[in-house]
Amino acid sequence: MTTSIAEKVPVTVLTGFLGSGKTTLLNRILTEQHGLRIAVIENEFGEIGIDDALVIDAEEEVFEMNNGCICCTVRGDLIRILGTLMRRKDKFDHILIETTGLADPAPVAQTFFMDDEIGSQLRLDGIITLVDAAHLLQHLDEEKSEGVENEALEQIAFADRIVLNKTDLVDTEQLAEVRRRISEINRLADVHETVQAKVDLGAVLDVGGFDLSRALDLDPAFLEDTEHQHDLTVTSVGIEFAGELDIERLNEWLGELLSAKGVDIFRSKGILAVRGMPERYVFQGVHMLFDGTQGEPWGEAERVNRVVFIGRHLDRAALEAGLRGCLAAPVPAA
Amino acid sequence: MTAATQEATAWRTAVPESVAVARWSADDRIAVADLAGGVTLLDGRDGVALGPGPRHDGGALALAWQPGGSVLATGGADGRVGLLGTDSSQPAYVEVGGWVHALAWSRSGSHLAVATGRSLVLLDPAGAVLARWDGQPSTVTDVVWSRDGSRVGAAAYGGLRWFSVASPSPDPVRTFDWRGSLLLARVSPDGRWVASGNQDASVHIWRLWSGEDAEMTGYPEKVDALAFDRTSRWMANGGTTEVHLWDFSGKGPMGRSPRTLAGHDAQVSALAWQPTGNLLASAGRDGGMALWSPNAARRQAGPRLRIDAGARATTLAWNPDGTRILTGTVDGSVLAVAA
Repeated sequence: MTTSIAEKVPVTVLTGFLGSGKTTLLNRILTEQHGLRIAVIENEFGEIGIDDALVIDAEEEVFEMNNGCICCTVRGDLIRILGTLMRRKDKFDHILIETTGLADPAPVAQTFFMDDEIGSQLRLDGIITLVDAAHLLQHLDEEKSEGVENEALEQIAFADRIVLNKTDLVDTEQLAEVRRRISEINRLADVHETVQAKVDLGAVLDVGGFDLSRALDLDPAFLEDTEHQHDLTVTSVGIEFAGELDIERLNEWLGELLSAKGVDIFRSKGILAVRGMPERYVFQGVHMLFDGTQGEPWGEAERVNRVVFIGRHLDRAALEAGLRGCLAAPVPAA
Repeated sequence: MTAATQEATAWRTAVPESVAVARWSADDRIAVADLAGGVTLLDGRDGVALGPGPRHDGGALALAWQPGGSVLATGGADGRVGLLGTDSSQPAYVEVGGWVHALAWSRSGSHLAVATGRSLVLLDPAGAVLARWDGQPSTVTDVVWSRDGSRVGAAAYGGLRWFSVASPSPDPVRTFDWRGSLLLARVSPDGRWVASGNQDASVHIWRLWSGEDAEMTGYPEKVDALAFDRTSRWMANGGTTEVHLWDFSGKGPMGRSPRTLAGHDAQVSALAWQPTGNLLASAGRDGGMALWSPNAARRQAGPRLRIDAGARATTLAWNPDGTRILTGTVDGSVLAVAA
């Protein structure tokens, strides 16, 4: 039994620190007149009092997959809950997963890659990260002891959309600084400024963040390298150049890159021009997990490669050199 | 449905929601748990509803008939165990904690083991709590009994932990550690082996007396169907579109390759051996149900019976004398066929 993408129930992951306005946004989503039946999986007790919606409390349970891939962690609680939700006859139009402020988004996303049954019936639409404009910098600059993750940083790095909330509590200068810091970390995510989490629901419920057919409507701004004023551990690296890649070399390079550096590469996305392939080759990854397919035909458009990596300790020069090394040998002129 | 299917179908009925599990009682009743939280009791002869059983808001997920008795135990997302005896029409409920994922009676029917959240709970047939083992390292996904009923095992991420029933200390008397996520566990009827089906697309087996273990890996998907036959010679498992049959005779399946039974177009979703004979029932995510005689020949031409339940099958149950088999589906259908 196969289910096409159109029939798959979209799932939105809502992350953000305590106090960023997650419960406010959740209540807004649930009360607005959208006519959608929504199921909410909550890891943090909020005050949700909606009769129509099914609210399920879950306790975060992360475990490693026994497949030799050290960063392939999944969420056992979500596998069980989503497993019963997707088997119901009475389907929901949308599923929302609210994580705690301290949750790592990677196992949530990887659950959709690693469990084929879930991946066949549900689709991860996007990771939405709520940010408190007044406190973000403090969270980002918090000193963490060795080996301890800065969750605020990771949640921004993983996001498809960032809802920059409580903008009324900061002045213009502070707001600009917050936006600058966000874009240093994650150049791909759209940022929506809000007060009291008032955001257009279309901006958070239909993101297509993991949809390869919608991958990379890349804003050219992603390539601009900003002046780094901080010691950046987590950054975005955007690479763009024209030319055709050799598929064999590309597979080899990407495979080696993700197995060697997958722990540090949180997310990757790209549109590539492959020699002999009339369509765009689109891919996306979460850590070492990788998904690629043929997209729209290039037609008359210039064949340009565009890739973004978001991660820790990324070496721009090495990444670009590696990808350029996949360029196909020039074809001798006839 | 083909003509052959209709002929074979003894009866067909429906419950309000997706069937989580169905089980047949010794006195020819069927209990069906559904994801709307209902438990429906059916007459095994014709599928006619006898009335509602216990309720579990958020979804009924597990049920088990007491062996040698008539108590029906149920559990679900409400964190309760429901107990329905013949002497009363109203079920009794026991609050046990988190989601109840699995229930298993000891062979004598004196104890009921409950997998609930990160706890393993032991109840007597009246619902009194005999023991609790809270704070397990991970959510308890299944419960198993040793053959003599002296030990009860909790399956979870990280392996199997065995506890003593007679002297319930907080610490396990035995642990079978393995870094993987166990979805279900089964003990062979002769008490020699325990096997688990796992999230990471593998089957793990342990020899109960020695703890010696082995693993069958490389399945395309998670293994969420697994069953030993009554002789303990064969273990069947899913994880793929074929049923795999492992020979546990002699020194066990190590070094042997499995027999494969090909008859499903989608992943195998449930397996059940005939309680009185050698037939194996399998069901698939495509709604197909098949009956096999695995002992008949090494090469299987195909199933001896195949029917289409119409939607993904989630459970299989034999009647106690092994003459009928039923399946339940995600669209709420329950159908029984003569074997």
